Amino acid sequence: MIRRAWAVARKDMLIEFRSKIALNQVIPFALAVLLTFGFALDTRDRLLAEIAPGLFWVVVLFSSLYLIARSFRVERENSAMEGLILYGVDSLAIFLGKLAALVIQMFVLEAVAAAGIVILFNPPVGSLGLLAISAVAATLAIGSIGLVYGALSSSEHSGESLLPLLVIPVLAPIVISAAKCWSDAESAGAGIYDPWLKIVAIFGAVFLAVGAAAFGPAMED
Amino acid sequence: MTSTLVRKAVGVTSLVLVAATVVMGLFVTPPDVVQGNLARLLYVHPPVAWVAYLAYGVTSIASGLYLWRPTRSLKWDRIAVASAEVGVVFTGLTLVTGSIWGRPAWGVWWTWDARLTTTAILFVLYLGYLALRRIPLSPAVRAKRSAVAALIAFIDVPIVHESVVWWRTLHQGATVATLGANTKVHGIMAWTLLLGFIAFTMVYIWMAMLRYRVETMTAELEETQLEAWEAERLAESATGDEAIGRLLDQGPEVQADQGAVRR
Amino acid sequence: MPADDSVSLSSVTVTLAGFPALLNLTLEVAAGETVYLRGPNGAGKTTLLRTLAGLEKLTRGKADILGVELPGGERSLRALAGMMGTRSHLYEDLTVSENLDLARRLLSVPSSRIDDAAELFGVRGRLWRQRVASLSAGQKRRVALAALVAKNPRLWLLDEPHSSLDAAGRELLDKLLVEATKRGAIAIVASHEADAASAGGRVVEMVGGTVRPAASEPSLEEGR
Repeated sequence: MIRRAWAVARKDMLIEFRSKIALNQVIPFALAVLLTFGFALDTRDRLLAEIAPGLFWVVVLFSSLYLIARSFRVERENSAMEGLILYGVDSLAIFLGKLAALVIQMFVLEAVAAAGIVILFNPPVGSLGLLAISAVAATLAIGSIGLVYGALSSSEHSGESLLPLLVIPVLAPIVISAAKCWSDAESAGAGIYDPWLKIVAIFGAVFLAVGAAAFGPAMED
Repeated sequence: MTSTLVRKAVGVTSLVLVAATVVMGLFVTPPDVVQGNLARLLYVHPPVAWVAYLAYGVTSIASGLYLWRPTRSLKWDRIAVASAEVGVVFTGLTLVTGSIWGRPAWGVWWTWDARLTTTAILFVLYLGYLALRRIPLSPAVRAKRSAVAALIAFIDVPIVHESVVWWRTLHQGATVATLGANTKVHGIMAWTLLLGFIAFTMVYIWMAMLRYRVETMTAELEETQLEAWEAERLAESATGDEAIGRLLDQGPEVQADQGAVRR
Repeated sequence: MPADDSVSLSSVTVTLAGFPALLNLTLEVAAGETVYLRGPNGAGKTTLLRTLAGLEKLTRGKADILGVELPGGERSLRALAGMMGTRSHLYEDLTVSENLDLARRLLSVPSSRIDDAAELFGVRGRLWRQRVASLSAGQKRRVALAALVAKNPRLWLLDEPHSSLDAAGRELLDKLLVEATKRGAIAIVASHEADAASAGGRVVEMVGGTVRPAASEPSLEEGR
């Protein structure tokens, strides 16, 4: 099963290498949103620096929704996901493979968005370790839940706004706890023993487990 | 038709109880010492919020029973959707009555209190559930997908609640007192509150029953159609000669718009 | 009791979005048999193929397909059956070789097998490094057929396989089916075309989501 999951992940990464949707569209979109925040909220440095953690996760969440939608669009063209099912691929293998590819793309997105925020809004960064670990947990949670709802809402007849409507409220705890992690990371002396990191890690594990358990029933009709 | 009878009885009872709550709440009970007439919302708001949670609880249980193979039946799916729809209505009412109370009591329509925030997220969460149900799919597929969504929501609600509580408490002081916390409830007021709980619970049961009936009738209609289609589909469609003649012989005279394009 | 190399459907109903695409359908196919499904649009040919592939759930009735029982065995059936629908199941952004390489990984077959299949359907040369998005409908179909041959299913389910294939491709496909059924496989082909290929096969007329009673029965005709 791991081998097949790897084949699915490899396939999704290859598709991204060929089409470069994430690189040429989603990441520039994230940067454009960051700039827009700057215009809309005025360039009072302190304000932007203060709300930077929240802005970061809002931008990452919204941009990730495009990556998730994309991950299912390639499967819908020519009913390719049906092809995977007809090879007898287990739904858990499809989930893990697609999650791996999605998470890698999200990491790149987050790295670019974080760099953009640090350069543009100039928030203090204390503990990189805290930031990185919380980002991993939050990314796994967003990816897992996103894939499940992507499968649940995948139909020729579902509008494009259904996925965000379903995913955003479910992930509210992740946005809260991940943003709090970054806020804490700003202060000197913060480390990986931050209480919010524990919370985001637990949530991340729960959502990953929920995603792995729910993807099969969600996908198979 | 005992079910119809039961439904009617529940309907009449709930209407009578709501009417009684209105009379008790507005005319019989005295105004509160601290909050005056504002406290009368107490007879509505907590019961309405209770019904919302009750409804989602029922949706979750029914969804779980649908997903569990030994008890899998579209009946549970119908109960789930009936209850969720009523739940969304009552969540909306909870938010509205809360806001109406909050404006004079706190001076704001909204505050980022843990309970309010959780309720708001709950509202959006189940709006999404209902939106998901509107994708045209076969009944079994829709039932399965929505049951998965309902169970994720069920797991998510406590997580949302805990995270919002930590969010409001870890970095800030005490949260705003919730509705009714500083109101002394006793005597006739307590009885009216209890009446409110019973009345709105009955209203929930009635609405859910009606909604369930609509779902069953829709399914029955589809079942009848199945048989009707059987006969209809076996008969071949009539030859199209006549229609072809009609369409080709009497076409409309389409004229090009006399637009800006000149020769 | 049907053997585990035959297909047996009894009173199968499959409902799609409330509409009975298959209605009370009963069908028996023996090992090595080729069945051609005929019938007007909307007769249920595609749904029948999808059901046989384990992609649709039975609303009523039951089936025994290659020893797999439905409802219940959909997942194991998918691995046994080989379906080529109107959709190619290919990833548009990947090249022909990458698509077939994915098939190789998922099937766990040696790459020589994929090469042979690609060679057979003539997609090994110039097309090999082209993106599927740039291929014609017929070329995509050839790639999909190559993947199908590599899977070598015991139950071939082909939906309008001849559409958009050229004469050489059709001939190749027909030859393939003859050889496969000779080896005990079952082929079920939905097709509008009353082509010569039906020689050696059985024609099943479908209408209204079920098998039309044999034309010799006069009762249906009288009703009109």
